[in-house]
Amino acid sequence: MSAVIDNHGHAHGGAHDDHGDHGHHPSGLMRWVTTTNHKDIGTMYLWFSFAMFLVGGVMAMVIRAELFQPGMQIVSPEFFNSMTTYHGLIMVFGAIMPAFVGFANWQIPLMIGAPDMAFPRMNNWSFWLLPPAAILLVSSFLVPGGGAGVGWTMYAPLTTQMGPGMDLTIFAVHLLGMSSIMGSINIITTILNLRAPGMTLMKMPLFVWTWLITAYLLVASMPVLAGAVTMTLTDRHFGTSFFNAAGGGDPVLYQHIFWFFGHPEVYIIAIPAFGVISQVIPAFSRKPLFGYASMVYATSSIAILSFMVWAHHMYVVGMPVAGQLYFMYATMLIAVPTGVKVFNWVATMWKGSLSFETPMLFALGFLFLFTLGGFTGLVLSLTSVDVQLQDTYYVVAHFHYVMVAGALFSAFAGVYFWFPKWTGKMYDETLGKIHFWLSLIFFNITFFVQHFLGLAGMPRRIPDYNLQFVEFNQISSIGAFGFGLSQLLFLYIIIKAIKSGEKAPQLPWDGADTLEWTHLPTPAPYHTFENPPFVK
Amino acid sequence: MMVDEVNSAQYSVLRRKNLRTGILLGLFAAVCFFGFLAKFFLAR
Ligand code: HEM
Ligand SMILES: [Cu+2]
Repeated sequence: MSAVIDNHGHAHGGAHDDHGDHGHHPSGLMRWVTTTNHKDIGTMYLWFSFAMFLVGGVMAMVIRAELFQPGMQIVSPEFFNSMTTYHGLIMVFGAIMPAFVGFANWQIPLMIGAPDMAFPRMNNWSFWLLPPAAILLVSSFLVPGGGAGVGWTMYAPLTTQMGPGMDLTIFAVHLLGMSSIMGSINIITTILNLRAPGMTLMKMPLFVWTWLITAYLLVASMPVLAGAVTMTLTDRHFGTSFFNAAGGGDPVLYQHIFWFFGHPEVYIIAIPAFGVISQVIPAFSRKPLFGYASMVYATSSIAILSFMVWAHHMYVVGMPVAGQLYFMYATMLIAVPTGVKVFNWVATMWKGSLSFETPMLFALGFLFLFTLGGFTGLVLSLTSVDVQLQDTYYVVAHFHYVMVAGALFSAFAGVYFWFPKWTGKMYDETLGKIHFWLSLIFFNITFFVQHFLGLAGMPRRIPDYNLQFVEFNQISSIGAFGFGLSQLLFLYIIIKAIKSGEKAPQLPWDGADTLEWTHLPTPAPYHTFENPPFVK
Repeated sequence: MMVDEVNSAQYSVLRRKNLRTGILLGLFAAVCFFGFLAKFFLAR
């Protein structure tokens, strides 16, 4: 975000310093295309993520508009199916994941005292694979047959029956996977090798820890997703029948492979969100994080366990009872380290001198609502209960509590928290608080009632419904439009702050004590920590 | 300006170490992907 360049300290910096930057450095658009600077790349990730959030958001509005009334009014069933599909894919891979990679790019080098990411050129590639992937996803609406109506989980055998839009989607997933794997390699290498002297692993800010763990999850799970969609591709075009029962394959195999990726994926989204919250809550409680070491171990346990619970998404495929029992108990086990984290956050606030600026409000919203999502997760983990609830709106409510009120709220907390450091400007605190309260209220109007719809048996991913579901659906749709509009306020707040925000003080949050606040000017200059700081 | 041009002692010393870590992780991802596909293709 900051185009401010500091010219100190480069051996060859001053010689050809004609436009503030080094002479050979491109400006304008080419600056962004060729940049290898972690701050530029972080900024691009964040803006890309927000753009995708709006695209995915529009799709959600189409879904909620169609569901405002029973019967078919606005879109065809096929188009409705493609809306649910691309809404999910775009929000998961285009909005939430890139947002947290944006935080990683900006914050990890600043928080460990490194001059940049370990592989700056590869970092550029990781980002620039995303726009082509987004174009592939969106252009699948333009080919014969339109977008694939298969759900973000892309289950076989439906995927083998789709038009060429499915192929574009598969290639998009390949690109997104490559981007994530390259980004993770960069993050792990940076954290392992580029820490400033004295910054031992157990002194790293928890946000850095959560990304180290998440990057390992990504390196191990994204290749599995890539494999699953590649097998789908060869089933479609090259005569294999991995997932085709008529050819000796098994569609359930697809579900096992997908969820072996898919459950770690939900923690790939959740764990960096935990990391942001673990920075924000101590800063606004003016106390160190309670139980730092236990946070590290809890996060690691969650990550390891996340590879052992995948079939809780598949209780009704015809597993043996022993399998159902194993996956039920293993899933419940995850609640233990998750509980450790929640208690630690609460204990951090205990007897702290709390203040409630926008980042803290979003962190508290996270704390309450993510925990509620965790509870409904536990409900769903009960095999016998899930037989009734799977594929209903109860599941939709569950994962929106963890992904929207969890991950998205955490991303908002992070943006408000680090915005002054990134830009040197303050956002409008009153508007920020309004953004929080509108988001909180409309979020709950939208998704709380979906629990009732699910318990009453309304199936997900269906464009029509029975008359008894009308009221709750109308409430939910009204909430959704409100939530969508509230996010335009966020865009306004950010633009207003960049354009005309007040100058940020050096330390806007007096409880913040990580390197980027204590060792760097506000805003952070273009190049930082060329000479590493010494950490006591 | 690229970071790997930054005249920082820290960076030049770490270049090789970074490459080693990066290549190891890349190989791990490649083994996950190709090993996984090979398992299913060879099972045919
Ligand atoms: C204590 C923690 C959690 C438990 C016990 C849990 C449990 C479950 C279970 C059993 C299901 C399957 C429901 C069904 O399809 O019938 C499910 C679905 C889901 N969960 Fe969770 N969950 C937890 C946390 C999370 C988190 C942190 C996220 C993401 C940030 C998440 C995202 C999802 C998603 C996206 C689905 C739906 C997938 C789909 O079918 O499209 N969950 N969860
Ligand atoms: Cu799961």
